[in-house]
Amino acid sequence: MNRTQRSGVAGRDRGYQRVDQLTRWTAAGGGLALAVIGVVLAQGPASASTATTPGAVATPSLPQAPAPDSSSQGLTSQGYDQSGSQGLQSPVAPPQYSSPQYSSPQYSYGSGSGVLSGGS
Amino acid sequence: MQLFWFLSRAAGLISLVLLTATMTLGITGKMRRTVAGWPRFVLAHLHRNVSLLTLVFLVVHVCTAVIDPYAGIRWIDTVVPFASSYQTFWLGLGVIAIELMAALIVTSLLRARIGLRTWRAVHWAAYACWPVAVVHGLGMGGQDTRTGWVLLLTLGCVAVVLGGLAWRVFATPADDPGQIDPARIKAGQW
Repeated sequence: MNRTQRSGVAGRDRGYQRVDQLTRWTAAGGGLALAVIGVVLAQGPASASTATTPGAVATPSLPQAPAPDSSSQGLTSQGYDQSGSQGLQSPVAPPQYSSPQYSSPQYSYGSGSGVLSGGS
Repeated sequence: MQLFWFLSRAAGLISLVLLTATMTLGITGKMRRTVAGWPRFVLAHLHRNVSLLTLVFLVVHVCTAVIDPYAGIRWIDTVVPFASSYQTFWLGLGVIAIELMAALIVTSLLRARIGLRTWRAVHWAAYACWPVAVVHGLGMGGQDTRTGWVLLLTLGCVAVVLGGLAWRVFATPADDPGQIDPARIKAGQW
């Protein structure tokens, strides 16, 4: 084997080594991407949907919790109270009326009985 | 249990990227162009390795989709196109794409036995496999497909392959030192 042939063989070996290295990196990158994309998809909006229409996303949702019984659990302004306290909870803020024709009713607590004022 | 579903979708996206890379390497390899330090036989070897890697991720994609109980995909549905009751058409396209891919890989591994002509004829199926896989992804993806980065990824893959195809169609292949130019033979220079 002369010098030219030897350098040709060495070049070929280098090429194969380069390909093998790149293949390993691609496999590792693919594995990493698999994990990352899986996590991103799990956190995405699609993960919460349970669309069943043809062509729509078919993403499983977490098992649905049974609907809470309003007679045994209290309601809060943010939905069902999960604290297990009994009875109806008082709302955090009084309901706001945004109708342009009527101003918001004002409650006066000074005399001990509710007096409505401001409405016309 | 949702883990398999997310893994399946992620593996599907990675398979699309790798299939695009395989396709692009195949297209550009035909142009006989080389990059410094990357002779043609190296690129051909890379093309083969990436296609095998694509197959690995496709196996993950299919297995996790079947294992996940939500869609109710059976093993037979992964072999027989349009047999599934779940998203029949889009899933059927995926089955066709995988079978074309399997045919490409098997014939490539047996190229020495089946002959170049048969191998080349089957290899044209690559031009059907990739678009079918893309349409399968767009159809099955649903809300995923409407997610910005997923759509961008898919469009990027389409752009890369279309660019490669345009290059192959409009650019002149580099001279192959192993091939004799027919014009030179006609001119009596050979």
